[in-house]
Amino acid sequence: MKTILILFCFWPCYVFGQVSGYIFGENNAPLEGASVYAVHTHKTTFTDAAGYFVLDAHLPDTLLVSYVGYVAMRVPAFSGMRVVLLKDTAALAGVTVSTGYQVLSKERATGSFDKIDAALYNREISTGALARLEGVTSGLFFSKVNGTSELYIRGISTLSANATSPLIVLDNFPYEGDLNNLNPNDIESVTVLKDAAAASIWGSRAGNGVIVITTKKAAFNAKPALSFTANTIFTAKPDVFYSRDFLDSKDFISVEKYLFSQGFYDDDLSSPQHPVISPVVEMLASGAPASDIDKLASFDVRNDYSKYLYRSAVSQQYALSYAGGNESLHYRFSGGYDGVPSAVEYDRQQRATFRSDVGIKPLKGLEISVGLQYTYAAGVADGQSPISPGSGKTALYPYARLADNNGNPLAVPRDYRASWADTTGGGLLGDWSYKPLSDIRGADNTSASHDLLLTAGVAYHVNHDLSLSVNGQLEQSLFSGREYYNASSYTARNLYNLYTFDDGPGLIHTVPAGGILDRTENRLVSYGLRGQVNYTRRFGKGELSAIAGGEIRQTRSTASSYRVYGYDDNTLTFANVDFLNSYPLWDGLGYNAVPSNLSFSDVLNRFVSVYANAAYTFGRWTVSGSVRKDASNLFGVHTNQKGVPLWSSGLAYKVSPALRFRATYGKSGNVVPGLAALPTIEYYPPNYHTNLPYALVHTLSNDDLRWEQTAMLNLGADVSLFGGRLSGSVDYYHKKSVDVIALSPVDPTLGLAFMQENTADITGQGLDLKLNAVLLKGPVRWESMLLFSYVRNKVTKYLLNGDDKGAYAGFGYSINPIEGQDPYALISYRWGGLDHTTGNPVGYVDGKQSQDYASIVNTPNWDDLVVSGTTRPPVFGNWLHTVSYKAFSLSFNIGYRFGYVFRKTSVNYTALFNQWVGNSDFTRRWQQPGDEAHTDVPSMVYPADAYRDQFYTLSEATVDKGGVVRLQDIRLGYRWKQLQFSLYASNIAILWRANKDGIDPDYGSGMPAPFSVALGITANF
Amino acid sequence: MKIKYLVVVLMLCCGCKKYLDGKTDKSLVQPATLADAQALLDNYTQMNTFYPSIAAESEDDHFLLPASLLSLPTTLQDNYTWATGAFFSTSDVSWKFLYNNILAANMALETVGKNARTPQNAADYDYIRGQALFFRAFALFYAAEYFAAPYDSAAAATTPGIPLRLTSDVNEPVTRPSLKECYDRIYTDLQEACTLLPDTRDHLSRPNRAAAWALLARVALTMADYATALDAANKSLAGYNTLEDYNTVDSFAATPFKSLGPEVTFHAEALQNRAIFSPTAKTDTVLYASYDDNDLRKHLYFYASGGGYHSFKGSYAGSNYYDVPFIGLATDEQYLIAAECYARLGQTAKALEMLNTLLVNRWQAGKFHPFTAGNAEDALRLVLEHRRKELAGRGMRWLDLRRLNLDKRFAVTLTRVVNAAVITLPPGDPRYTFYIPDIVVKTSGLSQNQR
Repeated sequence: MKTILILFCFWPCYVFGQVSGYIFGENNAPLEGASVYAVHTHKTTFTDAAGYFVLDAHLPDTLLVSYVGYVAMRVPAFSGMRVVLLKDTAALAGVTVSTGYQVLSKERATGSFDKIDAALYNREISTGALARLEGVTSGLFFSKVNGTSELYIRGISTLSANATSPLIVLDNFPYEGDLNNLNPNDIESVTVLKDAAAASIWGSRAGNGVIVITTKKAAFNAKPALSFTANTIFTAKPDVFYSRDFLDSKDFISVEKYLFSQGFYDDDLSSPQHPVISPVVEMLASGAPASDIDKLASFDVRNDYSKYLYRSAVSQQYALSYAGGNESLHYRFSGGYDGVPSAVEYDRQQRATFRSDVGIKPLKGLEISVGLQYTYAAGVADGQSPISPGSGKTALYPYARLADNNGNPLAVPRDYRASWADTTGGGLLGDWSYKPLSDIRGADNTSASHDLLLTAGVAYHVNHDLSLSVNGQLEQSLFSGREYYNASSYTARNLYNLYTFDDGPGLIHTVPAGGILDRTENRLVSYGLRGQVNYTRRFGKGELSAIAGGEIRQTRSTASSYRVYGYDDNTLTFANVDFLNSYPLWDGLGYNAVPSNLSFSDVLNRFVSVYANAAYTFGRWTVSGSVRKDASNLFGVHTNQKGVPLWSSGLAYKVSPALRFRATYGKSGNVVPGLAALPTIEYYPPNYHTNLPYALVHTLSNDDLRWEQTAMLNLGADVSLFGGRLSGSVDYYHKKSVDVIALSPVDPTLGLAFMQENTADITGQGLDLKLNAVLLKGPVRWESMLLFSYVRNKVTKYLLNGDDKGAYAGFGYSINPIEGQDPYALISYRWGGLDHTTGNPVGYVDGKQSQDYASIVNTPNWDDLVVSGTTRPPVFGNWLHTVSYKAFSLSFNIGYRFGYVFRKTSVNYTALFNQWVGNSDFTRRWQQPGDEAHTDVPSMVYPADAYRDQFYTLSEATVDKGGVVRLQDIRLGYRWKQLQFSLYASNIAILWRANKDGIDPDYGSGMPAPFSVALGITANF
Repeated sequence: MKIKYLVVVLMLCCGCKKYLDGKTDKSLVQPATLADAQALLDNYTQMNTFYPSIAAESEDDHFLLPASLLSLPTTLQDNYTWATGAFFSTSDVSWKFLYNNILAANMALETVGKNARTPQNAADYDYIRGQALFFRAFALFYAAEYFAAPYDSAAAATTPGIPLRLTSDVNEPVTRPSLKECYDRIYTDLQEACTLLPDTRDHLSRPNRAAAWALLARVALTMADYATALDAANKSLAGYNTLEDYNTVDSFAATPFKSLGPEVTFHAEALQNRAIFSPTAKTDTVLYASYDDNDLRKHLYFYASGGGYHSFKGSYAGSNYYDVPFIGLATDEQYLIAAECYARLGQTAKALEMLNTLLVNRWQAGKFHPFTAGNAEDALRLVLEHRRKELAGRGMRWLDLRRLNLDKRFAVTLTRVVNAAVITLPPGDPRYTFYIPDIVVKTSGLSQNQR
C-alpha cells in the first residue's frame, strides 16, 4: 500500500533555479500547508490555500512532498508540476483537529473528534454553514420535523428546549451571532467535539458537544492565489398536495350540508360577533339552488396555493477569494454573495459577506493576526402561506379560490362573516374585504442585518517550547425588521374599521386611517478576551503538550419593537394613538385598547473562566487531562464561589499503527438561559381596575443555581485493516446528566408552587461508528464511508409527576419528561378498536374498555396509556459512496433512520367542524357495521365530542413506525485544468419507509424539502 | 511559569465579582426600590381577588339541590357533606394563593427594608410598609381560620397554628408554631400597620388606616378580645363610617351593588366557587324567611331562582359575577362589631345605638322602628342575628360558626340531608378545620389536621 503518482505537466519551466506547482489531495482538492522540501537545496516551503508552492531548486532536483494524513512522496522537480498525494490509510490518519483553544494531532489525542475536512465539507452545494455537516458526521442528528431545524450531538442532555444546541465555536471563540451570517466558502474545516476529553475544555457550555468551525487562512510564503466559485441551485416547487390535513371539496361540502341540517351553524349565523361563515353555508342559509353549491366542489384551493403562493426557485452563490503571503506576511480576502429566493412567492434572502485575515511576523517569534468579517443580510417576507381566515379557523375551506380565471385576486372571508363585513359600515367605514393575493402583492415586510466580527491575536514564541498568546474578539450585530401595512392592506383597514364606535353625534376612530408600521430592532454586542500559555517539550521518548489560560466573555442582546399608526411611507407622517384607555369596538364586537406592540428586552451574559489542558505521550501511551472553572452572572452566588471545576481525563494506547484504543471520562456543563439566581420580580403594564403598573414575584433566590452537568465515559478504537483498505473508528459512550434544570414542585408555603431548579437526571448511551473502505483501486477508484449512530436517552429523575396521566399523550414534538422514559417518549391512549354498532373509538379506563372519553383522556392511571416509542431515531446514519475515474468523480449519499415512531394526523371532527381542518382519513371513516374490520377511523358523530377526538387522534391507532432510507444526494464532479465543475442533486427520493401512509417521517405533517439540483464551478488560479 | 500565570488569572477573577453581578435580564428586576415594593402590592388580581372560598360549600347559609350537588366535582361534594376523606385540591389552591400573597408582602417588606427611611421618603416608606404588613396579616388570618382550629385563648398556646412565613428566604424551614404565636403576630403587625398607614383613601385596592383598624377589629373579635375589637372598630369608623341607604339601590338590578361601593373600606374578593355559584346554590329557606319584608336586604341580596327558592345576588364585589364573594372590609361590619362588643361588655344602649344606626339604612324609608332590648344578652342575640343577615355571602358565616360554637349559648349543629341520609356537624367538630395540602405535609413534615 504505497503510492500512486499522477503527474501532469501543463507548461514547461523557463525560470532556472525555481520550481512551482500545485499539490492536491483527495478528490483533487488543493492541499493547503503541505510541506515541500527540496532535497538538494535543503529549502522548505508550504503550499497556500490553492495548493500552490514556489521554491528555489537546482534542477534536476528531487522534492519531498508531505502532508499530515497523506503518504509523503519523492518526485522529480520541474516547474508547473502538479502532484496528487494519496491519503495515508495504512497509518492512522494524521489529521489535526482544533478545539478552539489549540490544534491537536488526532493521532495523539485521547478524545472523540470528528473532523469534516474541506473535501467532505464542500461536497454539498448549499448556502448554510452547518447544513453541510448533515450526512457526513457521525453522532450528529438534524431534526426537521414540523418545520423545526435543530441539531443534536449524541442525543440530549438537558430538558430545556432552548438549551439543546451544541456550542458553535468560530476559530477561537463561541459564535453568538446568527449562523446564517457565515459563508460556507470561507470555511476550511469543521471539527465536532463529542466526548468529555474533546469538549470539556469549554466547561459549562460543552454539555451538548461543541462544533468548531475553522475558517480559511493563507499560509506564510504562499503564492498569491485567486479562487472563484459560482453555484446555481434550482429548487423545485414544494408539493402542496403532500399534506394529509386536507379534505377534498366534495366531502367538505357534504359535511357542511350535514352540519347545516343539524343546525350547527345557527348560532354562528345569528351571532352578534359575526364569525366567519363559509360560502357554502352562506348559500345554504340563503336557500341557493343545490346546483350552485355543487359547482364549488370542482375547486381545489391547493391548485391556487401551488399556482400563486409557491414557486420553484433559483438561488445563486458567488464567492471570490484572494490569498497569499511572504515570509513575514500572509493575507486572505474574500467576498461572497448569496441570493436565495424562498419557495414561498415574494420571499427572498440575500447575503453579502466580506472577510479578511492578515497575519504578520514583525519580529522573530512574534506573530500578529487580525481578522474582520462583515455580513450584510437582507430579507423580504412579503409572502404568506398558509392563509388563515381568522375567527378560530386554522385553514381555508378547500374550495376557496384566491383568483378568478383571469388571475384577478378574489376575496375570502377573514375574521368576520363576509356578508356582514361588506355591509356593516353602511358607507361610513372603509372596505373590510380580504383578498389574500392583493394583500401579499402590496406587502412590504423587510429586514436587514449587519454583523461585524473583529478578531485579533498576538502570539509570542519565547523559546522553542514556550509560547504566549492573547486573543480577542468583538462582535456587533444589528438586525432591524420593518413591516409596513399600507393603508390598503387588510391589517390596516381591519384595525381602522374595528376600532370605530358610534358616540351619538358621529363615528369615533380610535385607530386612525392610514398605514401601520411595525419596527423591530435587535442588537448583539459580544466580546471575548483570552490569555494563554502554550508549552510543548520532548523528553526522549516522551512529549508533553500543555496549555493554560483564562478568559472573559460578555454577550449582550437588546431588542425593542414599536408600532406607529396612521403612517404614510411617502410623507413619513403618522398619528398619535391612545394606547392607555379601552374603547368600544365596532358594532359591539368588544371593548379594547389599541394594541401598541411595544416591547423592550435587554439580556446580559458574562463568563469568567480559567482552564488548563495537558497531554503527555510516551511511546505508545498518551494520557491527557483538562480542568476548567467557570463563573457567570447566570449562576448563583454559591456556585460562583465554591463550584467544582469541570474536568476530563483520557488515556490512549497504540497497539500498532493499525490499531489504537482510547478511553476518556470527564464532566462538562450546560447553561440554561433565562433563569435567575437572585430573587426577581417581573413588571406588568397597568391593571385594568387600578391603572397602576404592578409586579409579580418571578423567582426566589436560588444561590445554588448552577450549570447542568454531564459526565461522559467514552471508549473508542481506531483501526486500519487490510493494508488500510478498511479503516475507521468506533466509540461507545455512556453519559449521565445531573443537576438538569427542571420544573420542580416546592412546598407552596414558600409562596410559589414550582421552581426551576437543578433537580432532574438524564442518562444516555450510544455508539458512533465511522468506517472508510476502498472497495476498488486502480484507475477506477471506489470509496465508501459508512456512518452509524445509536443513541438512547432516559429521564432517570424528574420530580414533577402530574396526577393527570392522560395529559402526557401527545405528538412527541417536544420534550415530554417522564421518569423512566425517553425524553421524547410518544405516549398514546390504549386503543380498543372501533365499536361494531356505532363506529365509536374504544379506549380504556382503569384497565377496562370504555367509551367515556372524558375519563379516558383524563385518566390518572398509567395502565390506560401506552408508551409507543420515541420520536427521535435511536439509529441513524449514512452510507456515502465515491467513485472516481481520472478527472471525474461521482458520489451519492444514502441516509437512514430506524427504530422510532411518529404520530400521523388523522380526522379530528371537532377541528373539522369548527376550524376547517380536514384530513384525508375522512374518506376511510367507519360508516357502517363491519367497517371496523378494515379501518381505525371513527365514525362522524354530531355533535362532535372534543374528548372523543382527542382520544382517537392521540391513541395507538395514529402511531406510525418511523424508519426511512433515502437517497439524500448525488454529486458529479469533473476537474479540467484549474476548473472544478460539480453537479449536485439533493432530496432525491425515499428508497424505503416503514409507514404505509406515504408520510416522510422526518418532516411529519410539514412539507418535505423539495428536490433541488445545483450546478457549481470553482476556479483556482 | 504556568503556575504563576494561573495565579495571576485567579487573582483577576477574584476582582471580577462586580463583573459577575451584572443583571442577566433587565425585565427581571431585583426588587430594590420603594416603587418595586409598591408594585408587588399593587398586583390587584393576586392581592385583592385570590382569597379562598374553601368554606363556601360547608357553611349553612345556602344549600344545593340533589342534582346540583351531583354535578359538582367530588372534592366540592365532600366539602359540602363535611366528609373526612382525603381531598386536597381545594386546600391546595387556597393555601397556594394565601402564601403567594404572604410571599409578595414579605418581599415588599424586605425591599422596603433595603432602603433608608429619610425625611424625603418617610411618607411613602411608612405607607408601603404599612400596606405590606396589612396584606400579610390579612392572608395569615385567613390561613389560620381555615387551616388551624378555632382560636380559644385558653388553648391557643398549645394548639398548632399555621406556618408563619415572615421572610422570602426559601431556606427558612416551614413549621407550625402555636396558634397563639400566629394570632399575636397578626395582631402586632396590624397594630403597627395602624400607626404607619395614612388616613387618606388612595385606591380601595390599597389599605389605609381605617382598613387596618377594621381588620384588627375583625381579628380581635375572632380572638374574643372584645375591648380591643371595640376600640379598633370605633377607630376604623372614626376614619371612615359612610353607610349606604339601601333605598337608593335598585333592587331589580341583576347586581344591585356596584364595585367599590360607598361602604367599602378595603376591596377584596374570594375565588368563585361552583358550590355557591348563583343560581345553583339556594339560600337557606329559614334564613331567607327571617328577613322582614320591609328589610330591603331581602330584595337586594336575593332573587327568586326557580322552584320557590332564592339565590344570592348581593355581593359588594359588584362585578358582573354576583357569585364572587366580597370578603373585604366595609363599614357595616364595623358597626356590627362595635355593637356586639358593646353588648358583650354590658353596654346595651350603645350596642343598640350602633345596630340601629346601621339598620335604619337597610329598612324601607319610613318603615323602620328602632330595635330595643331588655338586657345586654338580648341585645347580643339581636346583633348576632343581624350580623348573619347583613354579612350573608361574605364568607363570614363559617368564621362566625367557628367562633360562636365555643360559647354554649350560641353553639349550633349544622344538618344536611343527602340521599335521605342525615349528616350533622356538631359544634367544635374537628371538621371545622380543613386539611393542610398533602404536598406541604409531605415536603415539610408538618403535622396534618385531624378531621
